[in-house]
Amino acid sequence: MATNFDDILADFDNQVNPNNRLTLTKLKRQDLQLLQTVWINERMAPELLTYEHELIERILSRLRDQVEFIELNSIDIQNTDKDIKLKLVVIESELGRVNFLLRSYLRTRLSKIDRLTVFIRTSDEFIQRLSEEETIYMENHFKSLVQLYNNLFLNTMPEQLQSLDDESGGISMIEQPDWNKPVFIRVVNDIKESIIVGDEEVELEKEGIYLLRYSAVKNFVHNRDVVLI
Amino acid sequence: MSLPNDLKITLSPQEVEFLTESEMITILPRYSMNKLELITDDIPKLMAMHRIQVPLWYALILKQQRKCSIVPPNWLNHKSLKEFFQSEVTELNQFSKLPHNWLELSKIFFENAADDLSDEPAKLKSLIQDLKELRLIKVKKGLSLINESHLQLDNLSILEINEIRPFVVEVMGKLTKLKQVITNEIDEDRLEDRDNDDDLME
Amino acid sequence: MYGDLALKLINEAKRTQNLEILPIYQDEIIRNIVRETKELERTLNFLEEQQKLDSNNRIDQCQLFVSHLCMRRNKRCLLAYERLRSEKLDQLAWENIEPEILNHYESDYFKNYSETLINYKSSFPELDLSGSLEPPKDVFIDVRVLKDAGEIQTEYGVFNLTKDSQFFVRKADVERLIQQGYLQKI
Repeated sequence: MATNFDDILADFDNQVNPNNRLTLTKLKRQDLQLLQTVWINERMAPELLTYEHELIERILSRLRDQVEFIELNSIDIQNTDKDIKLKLVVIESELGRVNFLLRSYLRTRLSKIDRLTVFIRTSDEFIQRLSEEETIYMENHFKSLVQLYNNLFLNTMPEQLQSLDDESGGISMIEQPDWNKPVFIRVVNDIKESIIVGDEEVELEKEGIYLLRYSAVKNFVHNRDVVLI
Repeated sequence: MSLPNDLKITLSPQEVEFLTESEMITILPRYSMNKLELITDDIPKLMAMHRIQVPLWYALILKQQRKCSIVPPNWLNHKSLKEFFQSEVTELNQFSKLPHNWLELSKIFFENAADDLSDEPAKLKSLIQDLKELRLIKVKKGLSLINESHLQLDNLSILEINEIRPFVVEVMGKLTKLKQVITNEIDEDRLEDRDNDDDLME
Repeated sequence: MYGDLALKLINEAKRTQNLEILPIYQDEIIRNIVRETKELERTLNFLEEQQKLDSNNRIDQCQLFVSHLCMRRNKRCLLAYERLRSEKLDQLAWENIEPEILNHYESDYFKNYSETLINYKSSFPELDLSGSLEPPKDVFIDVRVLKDAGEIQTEYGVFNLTKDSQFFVRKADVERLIQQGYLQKI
């Protein structure tokens, strides 16, 4: 879906006639669809996915316009004009819905960042997936956690036990994503090659729903040929 | 903690309902209203008695204010549900092609727009219930086929998936780990066998 | 026995998991675990010296191994305990609730994390990130005033809540008044 989407965005930018409302409406709907998809993907994937910077920015900018509209018109709500009243109810309701989706998406990410901090910090690939704000959040949070552990007990422990990314003794302290976590997926695009799960070969049929380990479909989740459910 | 623990495992029923409310549905307005520009959609001008497609959450606001009736989807009637039930019975190895949100959508209809249904809601409700139970039996039967590799469950709705999610995720996860342990042991055996063979060669 | 104290701490952590509030910080147990771990280190050093003299002593080898494990286990238990507490503190920071009695360092941590949050949230001024994680329902509702509640100021103007009057309001604006019994949803 991501690739289709870029095309449409380009089309839209190329529109000579800015009054082509239909395209804008379509774009708005696609953004909602995409936001719902990335939200559920983020909720269900064991790893942290790439931050959807452009999508979030587009939605936020429309959201700001809408808030402004409400500020200009809200005083009329006790007005007898039923039409305005209904209009505001609809606009506020939608605002609440979008706000919820963004909130849940962002907080899902923070919760994963908290859990996987030490792992993320060791991997350039994962650091790239964070937004600027998330990186600052992660570093600050990590710093205060280390400070807390150090002040409470680590500083007074034997020297060999003072680190936080200890991998000795057979147990790694670094929490990794559970790559083999079983997930439910729906196949949304044609996938030509079959995939290998354990020692079985599986063909993923379009529109099919499967339960399988995340590692087997990770790349298809990244390029959105499959979505998590 | 930025996300409560129960939300880390699954989508809540409220969230599933929320997603269904984002989908489009046909309404018959009893009221005219100007076009509305929203963040995630634009709602065209409403004209009384002209059918139009709108997001379900919007339809529900109008419905609540008695400004429209909602056109039920073509499967939410006595005849179609009977047919679906029949096909569930005859095709024991697959789920009938009900839309992916059939459970959520019918629930929303029963709660908010029961008067728009063409058949008696109580009867439809019991048909839905029958379908749900029958499909659950099939799901459970299908789960007996669970292995560490994969399970195909086409046409299952999110609510139905949610119902089995905690259980199957746990079981399949355990099976995967077991399989890994066994495979590792076999590999080690093979290595040892080879060592022994080498010994023989000498 | 080695490890008993750590077990006690883990039991405490487990109990904390299901509590609404944050129980008191187990200062004494923590200090004793650290002391025990240092003792283990001394044993370890001694055993390592012994090993140099006689590397075939199986009993020493075994003791060496067990001491190592005990030390690591102690550390893991300390971290598990504090991690759980810090997560509780994070949650309180999200809900904007000041925790009551805290260890000095924990209180520092709470302040730091609250600041980190405020900083993150300020990048999204148009969103209410601390809002409910349940999907919204009925953004606007009709309410009847059950007892006089004075004036409230909302984005939609000022409401004078006198008994028996009715209003059409944003649910979020009056949620508290409904809970307190001033208003009733119609």
